[in-house]
Amino acid sequence: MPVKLKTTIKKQGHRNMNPFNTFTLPYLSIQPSRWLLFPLLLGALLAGAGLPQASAGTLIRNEQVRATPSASGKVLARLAKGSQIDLLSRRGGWIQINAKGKKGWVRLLSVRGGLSNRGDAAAELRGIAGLTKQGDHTVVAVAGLRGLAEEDLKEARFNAAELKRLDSYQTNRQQAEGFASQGGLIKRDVAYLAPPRGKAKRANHYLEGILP
Amino acid sequence: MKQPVLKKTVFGLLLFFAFGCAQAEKPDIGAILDALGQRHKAAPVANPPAGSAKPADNASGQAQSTASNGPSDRALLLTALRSGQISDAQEDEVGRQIAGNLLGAAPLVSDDALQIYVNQVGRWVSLQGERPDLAWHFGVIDSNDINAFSTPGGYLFITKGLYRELANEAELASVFGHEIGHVLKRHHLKLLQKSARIAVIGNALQSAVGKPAADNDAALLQNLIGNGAAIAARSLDKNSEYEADLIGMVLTARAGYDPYALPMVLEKIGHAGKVGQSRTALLFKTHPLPDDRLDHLAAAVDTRMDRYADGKTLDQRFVKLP
Repeated sequence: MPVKLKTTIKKQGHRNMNPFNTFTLPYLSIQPSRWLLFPLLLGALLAGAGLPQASAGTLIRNEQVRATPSASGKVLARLAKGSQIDLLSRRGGWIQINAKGKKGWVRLLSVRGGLSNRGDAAAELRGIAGLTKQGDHTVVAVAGLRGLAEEDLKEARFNAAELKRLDSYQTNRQQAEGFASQGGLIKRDVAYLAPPRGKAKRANHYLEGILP
Repeated sequence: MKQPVLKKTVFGLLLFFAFGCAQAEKPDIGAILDALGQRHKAAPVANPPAGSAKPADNASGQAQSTASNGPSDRALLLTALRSGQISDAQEDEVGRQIAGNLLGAAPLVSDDALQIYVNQVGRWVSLQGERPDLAWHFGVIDSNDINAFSTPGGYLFITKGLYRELANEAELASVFGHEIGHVLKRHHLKLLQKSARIAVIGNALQSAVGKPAADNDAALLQNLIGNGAAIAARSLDKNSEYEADLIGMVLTARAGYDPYALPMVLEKIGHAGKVGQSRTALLFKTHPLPDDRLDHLAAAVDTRMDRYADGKTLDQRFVKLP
């Protein structure tokens, strides 16, 4: 009898499936430039010390280029949304750019592309060889390691042994605090952020686009 | 045997309706309940004390089952889910069930050092929120997909696939920060509660055709949290995801890490999705696209995080997967 029920729910799953054909194409056609800005070579190091070599990025909004990495820094220039820039280094929430020979600082969150900070050279190479990554995935899948599709999650059976293992790793407050101080982590007072004013304009979330 | 099958089908259809319309507003549900003639009164506002016999549903007085079907704490749990007044202990029970199911789909990676490490990082981040004393659990699960999950009560999982994309401890903290945000705001719990309320209609219908209420309760709870971990893969509304991003960034900063770790991770996820789409299929289906999340973060953050950007990334301590 429960089988009947399961089938009914499954139908809903199918309705929601096939996410990519539906949104990838319009997405591509709207912003082809972004795709070119995520080349595999851009796994360059940006955090901390800075970039070994400039990597490419693009501005996703009109920005003021400042002389120093600060909102009070002198405005050197204004760049339009979509400007192609070289990313030189990062300091906090600011990124140093080179736009056709002019250097300055813009807010990190105004830049898209090339920000990813690959931890090591090996990871970077893996990123460059994107195809092997995909290859890895396929091979592993064949070998029996599963991806996590929605159907897998629906069909999953309770695993008491693994849950017990999960319990065994639980960390208490004191242990966590000790771990934090070992790493030199210092607790800071930071206020929650209010959501931005005004509603998000683009509804290109897959589900949002389909459901009324 | 024919009739029960029919009943199940009707119930199933109703449940399908319930799941499909999870976004529906409460007033509609109320209207439907009214239309059903108040057969089932709304559950009490406060949790019934432990041990009290039955939820208020039997006000219908119809076909009450004499044999208690399943443990009574389960009945209380259902009542709590419907009423929206659920204790931390009950929330944990819901979370454990879903976490156990999720682990049935993908077990933990067999690496004690790694699992202990992620618990230390996650627990530290969890201490920065409003629910520091939940029974927080963290795990890396054996899947090459790029995703992370949370259940009510604080059971958080990151896939091996996403973990491999991370460069440092701050980025791990930011992923957990996002998931902790869902738990703090009870996003998935609210989704379950909506489903439970809507499913009351199904229960009412079953009672109407003479099915004992206790059987219905057991089946209902089974359908809500007993079958698989589908709830963990359900889409929250877009604003819940944006909200979790903002909380994630703040918790990361509070914990002493570089708050810009979260946008870094989002950038990577966006990149990974373009390299190998199969690994991000579920993630992108249930979340706004990374670029939209980054846009939203940028608008909310502006320069507010600047003075915390000197937080640590702890690249050296980060446990790498072989």
